[in-house]
Amino acid sequence: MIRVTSLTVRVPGFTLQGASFTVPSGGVAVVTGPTGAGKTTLLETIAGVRPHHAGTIQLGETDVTTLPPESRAVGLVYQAAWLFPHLSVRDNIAYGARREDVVQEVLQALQVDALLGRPVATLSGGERQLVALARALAREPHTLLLDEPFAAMDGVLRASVRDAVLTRAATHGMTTMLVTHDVTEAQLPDVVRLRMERGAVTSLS
Amino acid sequence: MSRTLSRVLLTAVATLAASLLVLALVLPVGTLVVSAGAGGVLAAFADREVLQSLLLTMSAATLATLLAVAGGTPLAYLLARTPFRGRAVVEALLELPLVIPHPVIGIALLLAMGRNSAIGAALAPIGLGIVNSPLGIVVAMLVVSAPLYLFGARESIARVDERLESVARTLGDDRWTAVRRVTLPIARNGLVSSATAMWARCTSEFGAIVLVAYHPRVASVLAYDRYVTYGLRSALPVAAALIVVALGILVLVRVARRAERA
Repeated sequence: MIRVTSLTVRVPGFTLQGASFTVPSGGVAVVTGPTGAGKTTLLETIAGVRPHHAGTIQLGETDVTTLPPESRAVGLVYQAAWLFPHLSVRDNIAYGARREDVVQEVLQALQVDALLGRPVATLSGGERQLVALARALAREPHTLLLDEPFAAMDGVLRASVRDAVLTRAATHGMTTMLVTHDVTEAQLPDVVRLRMERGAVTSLS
Repeated sequence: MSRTLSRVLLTAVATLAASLLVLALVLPVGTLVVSAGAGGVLAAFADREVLQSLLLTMSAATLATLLAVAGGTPLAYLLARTPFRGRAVVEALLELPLVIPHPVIGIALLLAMGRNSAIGAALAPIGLGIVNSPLGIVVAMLVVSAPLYLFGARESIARVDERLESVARTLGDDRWTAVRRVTLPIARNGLVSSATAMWARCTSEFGAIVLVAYHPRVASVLAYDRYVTYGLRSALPVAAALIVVALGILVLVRVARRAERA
């Protein structure tokens, strides 16, 4: 479960004001809104990598408001992937993994094997996102925070990777937040829908 | 004026300016080595006092650089990552040794750490002091040259996007583990370049050292001492030997780094 209550974040030139919502345990929230609405800021704050100024964040049964990122059991995937350039693809994926068998499962689920021998610098945008998703899943987080993680993938790959990620998240009880501009993803069934504009959650359904 | 003509003129001016700069950088040093001659340089390496001064110069420069890396890397990280009130003033203070004359730094060191200072008095009972000692040489090199490492390291760390650390932290690293596993390895080339630049600057230091520790003589002080005592020709072999050693080490560092990148 993700429960955010009256969350306020101030960064230079922008304020995320009083966001409140709940995503049920194991559920998916799809976050939409124009560029600059505060979607990434919201995810970063839930992950604990950006300080907040007011409000509380509860993940599962734990109030994580004051906990550092490494104690929140979250996986964070950016649109730009942010792979570690000094490590191989395999070492990126295994970076935070606790068990080798989980790494193998994720490699199979996302079909990343073909990329293992490639230097990170030679990967395309979509391949980078695929590796970043595998890296986050291999950690087995309780909460998955995805910031347009399929944006650089073409249509067929995008659908198959999205299905694989959401299936794995569902079967492992991960609560997921997915930021997207994609119409298909915005209309996924059985999800919480958050609309953000100018630093506020303007609709919730 | 036609575009072709102006392009030719621009190329000629740029080439001339670049050539003059190369000449200014290479001519004095080249003249010195040629004047000393191969025989002179070899003779310098056979001179025990020259060898000792070279060894002292290199080891003191290495120690000063290691100290700067140990203390300067965390400080560089702080300056690169943490905004705080008055940072511009703090940075200006830390950078000051680069812009003030080095003899002034020598005087300041004597005042702050010399025999009549509180620090000097505290060090004396345990047999330490900066005046005319290897410790003084290391301290002088450190104070004069550490800003080169500090601000180079700060730039190298600042170029590593903070979101890489954020991702590492969501993957289980605490802040310092993320820095150790992600930030520093990515910034490594810049850190090594900065440390090399500092080390090179240390080996050439004269102004602060000559005031703090005329003895034991580092290579620059020995060259100066021979010049004022015996004249230009006596100073030549020492100076040439210092240039040859410094050039050799700089070339080695660059070759090693190129091989590593390949």
